[in-house]
Amino acid sequence: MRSSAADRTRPTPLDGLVVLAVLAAAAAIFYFFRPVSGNFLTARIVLDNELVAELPLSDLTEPVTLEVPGVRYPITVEGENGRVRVLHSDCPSQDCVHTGWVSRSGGQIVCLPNRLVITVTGGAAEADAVTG
Amino acid sequence: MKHIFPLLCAVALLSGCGPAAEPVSQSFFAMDTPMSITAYHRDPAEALVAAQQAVNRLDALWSRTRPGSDVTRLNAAAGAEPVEVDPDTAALLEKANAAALESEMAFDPVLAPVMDAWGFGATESETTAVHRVPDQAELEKLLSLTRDLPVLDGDTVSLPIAGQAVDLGAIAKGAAAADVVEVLTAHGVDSAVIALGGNITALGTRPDGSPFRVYVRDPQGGGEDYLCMMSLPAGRTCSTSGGYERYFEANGQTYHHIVDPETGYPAQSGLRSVTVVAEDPALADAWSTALYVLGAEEALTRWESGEGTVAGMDLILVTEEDHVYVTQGLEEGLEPLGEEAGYTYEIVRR
Repeated sequence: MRSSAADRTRPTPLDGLVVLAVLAAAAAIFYFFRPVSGNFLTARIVLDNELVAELPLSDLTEPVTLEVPGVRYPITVEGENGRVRVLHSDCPSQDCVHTGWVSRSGGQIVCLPNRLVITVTGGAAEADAVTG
Repeated sequence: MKHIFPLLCAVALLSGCGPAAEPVSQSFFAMDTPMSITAYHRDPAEALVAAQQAVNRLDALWSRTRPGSDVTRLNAAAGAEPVEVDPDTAALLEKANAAALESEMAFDPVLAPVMDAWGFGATESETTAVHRVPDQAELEKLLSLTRDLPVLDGDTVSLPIAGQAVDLGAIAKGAAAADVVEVLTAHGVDSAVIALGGNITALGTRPDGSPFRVYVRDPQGGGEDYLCMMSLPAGRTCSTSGGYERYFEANGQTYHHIVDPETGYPAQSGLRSVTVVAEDPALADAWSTALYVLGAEEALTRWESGEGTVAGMDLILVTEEDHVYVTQGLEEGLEPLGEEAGYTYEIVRR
């Protein structure tokens, strides 16, 4: 007569299968619930080391403009679905305006005269940094 | 009871599923440039604050515009008397001198009087900088103040000629990265990307063990145009120099900010940009400038020779013909992105 599992003293191949199944299930759970840095793009506007505004780029259904408060040279930031740019700046160099639209995660717009940095975050980050 | 074993297995596995450390970034301005440090660590706040303080301390020592900085005091005493400086300042000057000599003065830490004449000098005035084309007589007079390097005796430094001025702008940000790495490591951070105004340092790797990835900007493109993406190996720094970064136009000509110490004019070496990947962040910074001045041929000759500082680095050289030389150490993980823009890529081997 076959003994029941409870009576056996050594693991059987069936136990091995159960172990494998549980491991596979755990791996699947790990895979499907892994932290998804997702597709949600946000533009973080940092003035002189202080976060002054965040634009939820992925949520925007129509263009929005923002006059950044407290700057030395008036500057207008425009966001629309998935991208951001400096629409206008009174700064002398205009580098920020010339940068144009930024839509990739990790992308940056810098207005040095204003000590303003706009960084696009979220989404699937393609690169960790930019040189040049 | 035996069936508890698989259950324990599952629990053990799931406990490893805790959220991987999310990156925490700190952005700030120092050395007249935006900086950011991104750390992968459970609680990096203290480390990031300490890192920023370390950069601020060096900025206070090496700024050309802050009253009382080591560099300000040294410049004020040029031609007169030796000045006692912080050991970190002496060490950096020594490194700058060595790079100057090895590059045959393509990198010159005392080029400041010439840079100032073009309006590319002390950067605090960048917003109000008056860019102009100095005439030949003026340049020749100013060039006589360059090339004579600071003289070091321990932590005592002197500039031989009155009117001379040190500007560490082309090496200071790199040197600061070394301090940031030290501070972060001391706080237990072993995975971080340090971006000090275009100088990128990889402390370790991404948490999954893969190397950090860096975009190299297209020297002719807009904000989102990239020349390539590359892998930055653990412990390495990349630094880029290009005429496109700062320039002005006068009389229909473009004048950029990388001045050739030999002529006193913006370097005309046939390069659009140079990216250097090196172990020593200060040297990456200084040599990206030096190689931009020296040109592609000299840069590749030095690299291929297998001797000297450049041979121990990896390079990306972009010529005015839109040809991109990439040395073999960067081949793995290189993703060219400028083919549509007309760039051709070549892996250089030795």
